[in-house]
Amino acid sequence: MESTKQRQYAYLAKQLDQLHANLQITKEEMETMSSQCNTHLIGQLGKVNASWFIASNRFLIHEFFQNEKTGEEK
Amino acid sequence: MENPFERQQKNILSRIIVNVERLNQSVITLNQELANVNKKNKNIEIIGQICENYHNSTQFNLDATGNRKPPF
Repeated sequence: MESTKQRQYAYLAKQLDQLHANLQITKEEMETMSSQCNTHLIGQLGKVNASWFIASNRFLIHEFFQNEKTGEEK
Repeated sequence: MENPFERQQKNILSRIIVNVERLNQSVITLNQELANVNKKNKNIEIIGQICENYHNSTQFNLDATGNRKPPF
């Protein structure tokens, strides 16, 4: 009777160790994924490309209106 | 001392063991899928790094040649 319980507790202890290790791995994977999404995807691709787009749009419109103004003055 | 609830406790314990084993398998599958996702995202990470490097080098060049204009 007692040996069965001891065996069961030993197996449970082993399983909980495995669970702890797997959850560590999960935590690391989630940290990698979070850094990928936040720094790389949003920060590098998103922010940089959006700033290029908006800045080029603003610059070209500014130039366009300047050319129109100089054209009107002439 | 004889424990009157011995059988019940053994049953419960064996059910716990089965569930923890299923949990472990699920977590292993989760880890594998997360590793796949991260592997596939590496290329996109590289592109982001390329964009940032290009941006930094253009800013440096504009500052160095003195062509940098203030914002509108």
